[in-house]
Amino acid sequence: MERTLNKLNPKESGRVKKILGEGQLRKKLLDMGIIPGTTVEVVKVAPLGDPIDIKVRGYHLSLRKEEAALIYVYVEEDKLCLS
Amino acid sequence: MMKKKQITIALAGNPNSGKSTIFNNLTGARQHVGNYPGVTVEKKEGKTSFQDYEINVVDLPGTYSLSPYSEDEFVARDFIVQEHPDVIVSIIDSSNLERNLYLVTQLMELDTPLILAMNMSDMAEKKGQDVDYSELSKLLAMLIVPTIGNKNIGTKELLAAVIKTHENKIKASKIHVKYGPEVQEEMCKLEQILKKDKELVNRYPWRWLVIKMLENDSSVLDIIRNCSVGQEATAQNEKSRSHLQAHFGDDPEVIIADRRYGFISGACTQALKETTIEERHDLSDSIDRIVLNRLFGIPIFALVMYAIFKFTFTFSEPVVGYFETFFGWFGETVASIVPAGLFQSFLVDGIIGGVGGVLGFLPLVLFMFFAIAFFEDSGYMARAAFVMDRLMSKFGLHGKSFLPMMISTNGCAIPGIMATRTLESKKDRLITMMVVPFMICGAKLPIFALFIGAFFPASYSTNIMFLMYILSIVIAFCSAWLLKKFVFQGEVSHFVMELPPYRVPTIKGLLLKMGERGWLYVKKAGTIIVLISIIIWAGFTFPQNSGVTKEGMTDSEIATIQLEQSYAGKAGSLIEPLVKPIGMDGRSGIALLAGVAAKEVVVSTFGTIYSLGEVDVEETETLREKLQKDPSWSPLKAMSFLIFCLIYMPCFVAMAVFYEESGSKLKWTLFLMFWTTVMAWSASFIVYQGGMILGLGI
Ligand SMILES: Nc1nc2c(ncn2[C@@H]2O[C@H](COP(=O)(O)OP(=O)(O)O)[C@@H](O)[C@H]2O)c(=O)[nH]1
Repeated sequence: MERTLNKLNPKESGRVKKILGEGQLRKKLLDMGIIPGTTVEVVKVAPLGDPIDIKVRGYHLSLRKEEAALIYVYVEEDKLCLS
Repeated sequence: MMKKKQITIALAGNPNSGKSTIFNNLTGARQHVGNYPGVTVEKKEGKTSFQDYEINVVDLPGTYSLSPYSEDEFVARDFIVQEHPDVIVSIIDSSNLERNLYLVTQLMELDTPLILAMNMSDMAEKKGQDVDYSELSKLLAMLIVPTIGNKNIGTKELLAAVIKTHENKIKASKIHVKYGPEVQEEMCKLEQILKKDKELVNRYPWRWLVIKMLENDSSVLDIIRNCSVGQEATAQNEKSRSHLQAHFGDDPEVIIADRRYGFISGACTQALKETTIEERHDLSDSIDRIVLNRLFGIPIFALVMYAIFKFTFTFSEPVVGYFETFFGWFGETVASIVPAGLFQSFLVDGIIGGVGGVLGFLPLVLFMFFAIAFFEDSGYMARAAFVMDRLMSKFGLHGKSFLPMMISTNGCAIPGIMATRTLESKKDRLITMMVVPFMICGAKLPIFALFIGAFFPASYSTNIMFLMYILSIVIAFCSAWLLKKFVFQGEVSHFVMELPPYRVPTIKGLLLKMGERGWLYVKKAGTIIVLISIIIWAGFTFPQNSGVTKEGMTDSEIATIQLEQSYAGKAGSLIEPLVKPIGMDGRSGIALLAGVAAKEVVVSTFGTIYSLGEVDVEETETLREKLQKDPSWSPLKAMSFLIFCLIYMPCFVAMAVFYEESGSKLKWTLFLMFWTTVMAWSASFIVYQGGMILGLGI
């Protein structure tokens, strides 16, 4: 199933489907290695609930939830549930 | 002997790849920090000799891509593409190969010879990564040197590779990322247009321009628009972009990024022998489980902040003492050599007094820089920004804003303002710069110590001081919120930030970082403060006392008359009507006015006013008694005065630095001056008049 990255719980992972938004932010995300097809895992949520810590291409990246909301991912588990 | 050949090499790489460490290894102590013309980013350069070469090494700010987002990254990009260094040394963190190679694929699009320093090879090995260097070297068409920065391993080999690359003219452009026939076709079209402008393609590598155009990089599009084929190129680019968009169903920048990462995975699969990189939970992850824990995250942050202050104060206290003694001794020595009179007063009170006041803080600032460098290099600062971002962003600040604010608290707003450079968005940076001066810096501290000691019972003094700290933070946050709400409405900021693995910093690295920032502080503060000290001194000294002095008057009486007659004294009586509503008289007005030079001057001005002559800011006992005995003061007035001091305009040096760092925006500097002063006045007015109504004014 398709969800936005901010909706994932810690330890959940998925593959990037598409990235919304435009301009600088979108390019920055691409440059940091978040492109369609990449696997991303939500590792942690900051103590105050935002931002989140994700693992992508073997390193840790932090994003605010509003930025994560621009990233659509396929979540593997959901596929299992549906089939 | 033959004259050495000169070459310039540039170090490029992601932040946290160990670039500074490699730079220090290459250049040793032979380095200096300057500014890039026009911008405020530091330019680090050093020299080293190797074989028969004299090598000039330029350390560029860390960057993830050749599309710049922050001022730092702009500088790195401009240097790489415009200044044509002889060789670019690309430094990567080999334990994080994929993302680090992304920048390398972009550097390969330039015509400059390139070599690869695979740093952190110890960490990569620990992860179980086994690289076939000769294979990777072939795939990327460049020499590769594995290095371990913190152990100084691979430095000589790196230099040898630089020379070899330079002499053989190995061009990086032999191999490029294959973007596929569709993209390549559009690139050709653009290339043909751009090549008509000889000047443009001499200045910038055409391939890089073309790709950045297709990627819709706004800064490159600006360059193109201003060249002779601008219109044609821009029109073609729009056509090409929409053609690619239609073909792939996605934006060209996505396709381009995808192809680069594809190229990297291809190279990695070929060059990594049996990747045993199972996702072993490394030490970093374990530390983060505690440090970023829901419950412990914030207490740990508070503890770290406390540790930094504790460290700074405990260790700098004796040294600050030596500095003061030194400046005292130096002043006396000069006074004993130079005959008494105007010139002596100029040297001793004007220059040495003023410069000493600021440089007296140097040890404190240095210890603070050291502690901060420790937490930066270890990787904690990124976590602190991560933990604090939610709270800070609510008020229009950014997770990274806490660092400048912390440097300013008990330290100094000048390095605080300079530390805002790491903030990417203009809005975050300006707001942070504007609230940094509200923090209680080391120079405001003596004012608070003096007045709280004089007018409030000793049993309350710690609490009142604590209250002042809280108040300063509240005011800073509220101002940030107001600025966000009314001035920078709708401007966005992002928090896309790497959380690098924890690492053990090296003492050498920390000391060099401390020295570098300390020197910048001395240079900034030093040059401006001399000028301002002279102006202030002149304000109190001229016009000279004209014959009113009678025989038998004490020195202090003469000083009082001089004060009243001076320009500063006249200014004081001029502003008296302005400060009356907040419970102050002309004398406090002068002190506040003088405090604009440097906040600690408020105390020494009261010293002059109360005819004590020279007042040591640290020992305010006697001045405190004088204040207590003065019937025109009351605790309410003292409170009003303190609140005014807490908020009103930053010192001149801080404002000068603000002016520079805000991109020479007079508008913002003036805004800062008025905004702070108006707010200070209003707050004091409410406190004083409110207190009077409540009958607290006795
Ligand atoms: N384990 C390991 N640590 C390193 C190596 N090179 C640098 N470091 C450490 O990594 C941290 C960051 O290095 P620094 O040079 O400040 O990174 P920069 O941000 O790229 O300038 C410091 O604590 C260094 O001591 C290396 O090859 N191996």
